[in-house]
Amino acid sequence: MLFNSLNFAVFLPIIFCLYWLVNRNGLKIQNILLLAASYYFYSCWDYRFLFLLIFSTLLDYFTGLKMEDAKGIKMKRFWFWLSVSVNLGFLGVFKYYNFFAESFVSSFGHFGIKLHASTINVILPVGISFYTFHGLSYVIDIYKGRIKPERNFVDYSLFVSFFPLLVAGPIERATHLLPQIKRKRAFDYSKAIDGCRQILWGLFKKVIIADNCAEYANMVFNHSSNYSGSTLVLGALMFTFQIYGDFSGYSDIAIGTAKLFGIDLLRNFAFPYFSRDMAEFWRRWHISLSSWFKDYLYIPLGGSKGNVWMRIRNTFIIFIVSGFWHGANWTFIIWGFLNALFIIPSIVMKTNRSNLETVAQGRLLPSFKELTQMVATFSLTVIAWIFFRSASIGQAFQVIRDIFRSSLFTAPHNPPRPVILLILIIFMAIEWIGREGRYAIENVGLTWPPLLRWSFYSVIIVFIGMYMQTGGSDFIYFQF
Amino acid sequence: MRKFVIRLLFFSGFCSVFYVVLILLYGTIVPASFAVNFNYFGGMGFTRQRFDEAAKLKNVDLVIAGSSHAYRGYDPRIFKKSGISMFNFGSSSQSPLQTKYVLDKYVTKLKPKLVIIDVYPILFGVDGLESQIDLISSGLIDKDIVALSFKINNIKLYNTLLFGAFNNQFHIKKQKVSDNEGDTYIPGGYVQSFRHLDFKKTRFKQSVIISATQLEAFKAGLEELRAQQINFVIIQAPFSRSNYTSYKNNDELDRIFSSLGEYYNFNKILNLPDSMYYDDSHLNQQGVNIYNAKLIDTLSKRGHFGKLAMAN
Repeated sequence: MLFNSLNFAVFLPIIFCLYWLVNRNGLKIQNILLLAASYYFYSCWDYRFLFLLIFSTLLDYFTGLKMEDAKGIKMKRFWFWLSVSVNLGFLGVFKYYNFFAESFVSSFGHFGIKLHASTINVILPVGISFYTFHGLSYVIDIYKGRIKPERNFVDYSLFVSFFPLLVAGPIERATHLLPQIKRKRAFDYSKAIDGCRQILWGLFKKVIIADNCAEYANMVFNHSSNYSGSTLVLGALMFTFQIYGDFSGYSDIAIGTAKLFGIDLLRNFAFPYFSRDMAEFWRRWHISLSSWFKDYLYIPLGGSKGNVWMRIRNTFIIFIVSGFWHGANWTFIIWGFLNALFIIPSIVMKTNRSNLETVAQGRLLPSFKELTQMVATFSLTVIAWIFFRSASIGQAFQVIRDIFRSSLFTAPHNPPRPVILLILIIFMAIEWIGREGRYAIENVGLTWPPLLRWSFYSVIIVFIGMYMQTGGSDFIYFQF
Repeated sequence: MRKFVIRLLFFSGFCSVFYVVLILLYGTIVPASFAVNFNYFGGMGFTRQRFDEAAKLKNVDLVIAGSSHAYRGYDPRIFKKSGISMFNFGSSSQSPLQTKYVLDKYVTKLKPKLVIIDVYPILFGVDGLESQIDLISSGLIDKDIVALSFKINNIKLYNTLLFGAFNNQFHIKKQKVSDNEGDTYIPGGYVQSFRHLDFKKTRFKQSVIISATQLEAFKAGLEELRAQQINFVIIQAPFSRSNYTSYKNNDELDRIFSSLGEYYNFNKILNLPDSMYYDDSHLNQQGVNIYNAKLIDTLSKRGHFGKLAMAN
């Protein structure tokens, strides 16, 4: 069940009404209802994978309890490593087995040794990377003594499976979400309205921006060797906006939906394309994953402590692992490597925390320096996205090589409709205006007369109806 | 909670009105290039004239249903010479979903002695959107068209339908007749053209993948004719060699159509030169003259027109 589907438009109001109707019967019933709804939501993709989700939930629930009850450190460590290895084992089998098998055979092939890989035909269970990371953060936090295990199985299951975040995040932490699940929730009018507004903006980003940009990006990347330099640049730009619209749109819908149930999820995007350096970009892009890697990998490795070589090593490790998390393909690993490469200068010069505030705070326009920094950072991300989008490393290099030909200075082939480009410009203008909020239209029009404000929201809805791609499409991050 | 629900309902009402108003603006003053999911182009292929004429139709021996292959491929004047009165219900890109609509609404009421269902295989693989927009754009909106629009379920269709319903009441935008130079509407639903456009002689090879929905609609239409005891034949009118041979699964398609009723593929019966085509998909008048003569001959030998002649 996609967020941008008619099924979800029916599902959400039903669950919303039932949820607040049973409010007087207590928190327990509300949580059971949400859990049942979440399992139904997940089973709409493939009910068979529901068993995997339940197994993963049971594993982390019981190992959490066992760690707490363990008599000595050895037993505690045993239960901890059991959970970690089974979780990563599942992820490895479903997501990475074929990659490792094929890479193994290919590497022997370079030495003239022919091996046959036994690949398995598996479908990647939707959301496995996300709920595995939920579970891992929970067991790591218990092992480190940061939290106590949750004894209520329904509450813990809801933490793992809460439907708005189940298939593509944000990746939550037990310290943030579990207390909200256990706390009695009263209907908050302002929060619900805010949630609706965020859902609307998320839909706009997904249905209008991402899907329309995807059409051109797919055309270019599916036959990249046929196109001129200017077309390849436009294709890369379109993918840059596609992936932002797609994933941040999904996150907005997820966060907005959770607000309707009185739950706040972690923020996942903070206008990353307005970043002045790569370090700022990574504080603003897929925040819940970046902070996960920071807390559970970068800091345990030593973080920013130690000499410069340690910091460089740690940076490369987390970016390469982050790339690998995205998928079993060398293109993602190179994408992670490139991002590490781009961020290293600021780590070495210790300027990685120089842009913590929102750009041009309190001003309408950026300074020339800020504008230059933003354009430079944006260009680096576009180069990295070429690797992310390409089917192979060979294709990525072909695209980059072909960009720098004389055809770069010709008109792009079959460009998107002018109206789509115009909407893209309007979208970025709204994002710029709203960059100090949690999402672009959070504060837009709040002081306007209601009729004008409603007209603004209605225009967004009309635009969705008028410019949405009629074929429909999945969210990119579902594959991860 | 109560305040929230009431507010949401009010906003839904406001937004619905706003939506309708903006759709009307898109239909009237916004340039067509700015409208992606909206296409009230006013119809093409003389659909409006054809269906206006059909509304007054009383008795007819032969009825044709199908796409532009039908309305450009069967000339009532040629059939008249053989003593057969005929009406052509073809419409642009008419897929089996719309053919069923035509059969239900017009043909089964006219009770013709024979129905020719012209099949253009590629239209068995589409969603029916283009043809539906043509019908709506031509001002043909009734409860069956609305129901069929919901079945096709496409936002472009809903937007166009919304404007179409309004336009039928207030006549803001006129229906067009045809976009093509040299086309003439001939009473009886036929579109005549003597032109021959230069067309590509090579095409990508492709297979037609038949949609289950379209096949189901096609079978339902045939069942309806059988139930009404109306004779029918399924015919594939000829189209250019380059176009026909670009389909890799023609034999498989022939088997499917043959299994559904009496079927003739005139791409295998006739081999017309390119000069007899208007474009790579449609016959011009020279081609129609030859094709219709051959068709009458073929069907006469099978006793179809013999039966009609006896009845006349």
